[in-house]
Amino acid sequence: MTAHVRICEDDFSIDLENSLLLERSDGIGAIANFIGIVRNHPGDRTLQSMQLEHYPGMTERSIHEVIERACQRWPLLAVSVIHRIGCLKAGEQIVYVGVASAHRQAAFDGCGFIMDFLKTEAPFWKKETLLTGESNWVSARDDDQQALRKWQSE
Amino acid sequence: MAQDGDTPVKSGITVRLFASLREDLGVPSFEFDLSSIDGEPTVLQVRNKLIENNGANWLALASADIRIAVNHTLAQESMSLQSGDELAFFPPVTGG
Repeated sequence: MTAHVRICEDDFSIDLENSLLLERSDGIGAIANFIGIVRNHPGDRTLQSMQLEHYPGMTERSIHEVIERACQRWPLLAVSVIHRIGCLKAGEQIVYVGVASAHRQAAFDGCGFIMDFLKTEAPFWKKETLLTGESNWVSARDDDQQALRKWQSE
Repeated sequence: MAQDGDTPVKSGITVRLFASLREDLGVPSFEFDLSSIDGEPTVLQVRNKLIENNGANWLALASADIRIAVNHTLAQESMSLQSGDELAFFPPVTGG
């Protein structure tokens, strides 16, 4: 199993990242992707931009740990996670998760598991600036905590 | 040993604050001298000392939703600290 984690300001190409994933392991029969996008209307407001902050060192470590836990549950062959930081506009890509396995179910489940735990464990924080000029730190969502329960009860 | 004020104290740890905590308290990171604490220092003792030294707005560190990490791993307030450790306080994460 190979795991790649990248935290960067630059955008990513989904095609390129999936090609790299394919090159990293033999026997791949499925790739599942999750791509996170900056929403233009958080709630009923209009977003101007979003600032993403993280905790260098801990971020990479926590994502690698989540990938390791996923690999203990499913036979994954290659995993790549890219998370952008800095200033992002509405519609831009924030996060790429690519999970490769021999068969589709492990890729689907591994991708969902990694994303659900990334959202609640990896130390990133978002600050929204609205078109009105108002800015605020995004609050953690109960939905994200609830999403974890399905993995804990299985 | 040189007594240069810029030299990190021998019993020092680094304290880091993130996101809204960093903004509210106005500092991203600083050194803290563990020798200012009696007995075996814990996260709780350091936090109490920071609140005592810096004033009531630092009570934000003790808010129920604030997470603690020691050396890049989530930790409880009872965790012991040693010189060279990195202690971080931050609000619930919102990545992805």
